[in-house]
Amino acid sequence: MVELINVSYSYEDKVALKDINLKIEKGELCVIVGPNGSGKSTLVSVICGIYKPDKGVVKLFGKEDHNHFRKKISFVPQKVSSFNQLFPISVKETVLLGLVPQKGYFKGFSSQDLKKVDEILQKLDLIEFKEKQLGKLSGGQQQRVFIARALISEPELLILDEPTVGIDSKSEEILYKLLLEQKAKNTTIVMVTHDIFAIKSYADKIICMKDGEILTICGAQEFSVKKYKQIYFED
Amino acid sequence: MLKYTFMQRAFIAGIIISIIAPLIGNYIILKRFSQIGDTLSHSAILGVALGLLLGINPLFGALAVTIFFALALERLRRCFKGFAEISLSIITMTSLAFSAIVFSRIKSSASVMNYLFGSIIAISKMDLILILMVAIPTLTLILLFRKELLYICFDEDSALVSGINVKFLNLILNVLVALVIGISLRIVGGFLISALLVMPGAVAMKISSNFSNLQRYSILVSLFSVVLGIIASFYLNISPGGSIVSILIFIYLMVEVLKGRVR
Repeated sequence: MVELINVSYSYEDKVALKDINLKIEKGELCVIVGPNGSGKSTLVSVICGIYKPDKGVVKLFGKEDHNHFRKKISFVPQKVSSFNQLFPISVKETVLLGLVPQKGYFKGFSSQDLKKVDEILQKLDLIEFKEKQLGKLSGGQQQRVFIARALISEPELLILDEPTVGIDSKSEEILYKLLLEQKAKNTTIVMVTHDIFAIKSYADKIICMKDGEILTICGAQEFSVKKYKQIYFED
Repeated sequence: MLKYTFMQRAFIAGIIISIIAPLIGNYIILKRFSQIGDTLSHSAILGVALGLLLGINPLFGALAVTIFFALALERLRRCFKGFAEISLSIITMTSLAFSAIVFSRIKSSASVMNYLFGSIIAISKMDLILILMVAIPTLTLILLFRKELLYICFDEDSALVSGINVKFLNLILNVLVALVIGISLRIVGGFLISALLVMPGAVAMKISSNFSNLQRYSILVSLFSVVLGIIASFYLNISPGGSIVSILIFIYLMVEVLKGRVR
């Protein structure tokens, strides 16, 4: 589903990713961990196609040209950095944006689409906020709205960049429940996180990064919290 | 007042512009790119100057030059990624510098003033036809790309990831701004066009909790200001650009005061 072969990426003169090789199979829940500045978010941005690699190949759905498959991909960015709280958009309008790629140009939203919005908001316990301005919601509720936007299109590849940062425990619980539901539907999930609990409980594959390189790729069984802390604190 | 043909034309042109300008202006506000209005209005002034110098309809000149600089702007933005305001400054200064040179070669300054601050008596039949010819496809494009434009304004990265052609839509947005500026030139004038793009949205943002209301309220504010501004221009013999923008500023201040009281 996702394959990176010798991928490197630099910001001007700072190397962010060095010769990354990895493979994520269909239906896997893959977690990317590592200290701040280790290249996790850059790796996700390269997989998403936001950044083009300086070197190497990114294959999605087995192909180098991903344009035809983009509608099957959903991305949940780091909320705080991407969203202006004063933006005049309601919860309903935000979630509908998730359907824009599928609708294509020239087509408006149907009553079926609005029904889908109600269903997903119900699932995420957000239905009472449907007409509310997004910026007026709490951090956790906003994050759930972003997740609703990502899930409404029923993606085959779901990419999340630190979805649990700054959210309440209720939102976190709902998020993981939904991720497991998606996994059961054979959705491939790639998630950057610092949440050790999630890593141990849910992940099929764990990618540990440091200084733009992959240190190890292992399963949840082989993953040791002690080793993980070493990555963080050995400096 | 309406028995005069020039007033009929002024009202038709004014109503068309007052609907289109905030519709497109709201997107540039939400993209935090409001300054593009200022920049391209300077390009429009250069287009007017070239039109007057070459003896062609200045509105044609304004549309052509503004579209050219709108496309150049997108290219320059890519050269200064993350510092978009540099590209705006370059285009503004280039337009002003060339305008200064071209204007110094034009003998009559009366017609120039009309294009800088707007005029209700100067709208010819040809101008009105041109405004309509540009307005219809512009409005169609805005409506066709409504949801895609909102997506790139709200979260460009996610839009890109899920296959929205962000580069193409940014280009479309620039061109739409250029077209709106080109056709607004006669009524509001080059110096004040960006106010018509930004001020209705600024007022509407204060009272809107969603995008649909933002569009609705900004059109209402714009329509009211333009119609009242043209009437004021007729009876007080002042430039319509000045009267329209003064009304917009007054509405903005009223909304601020009323919102303050509600709080």
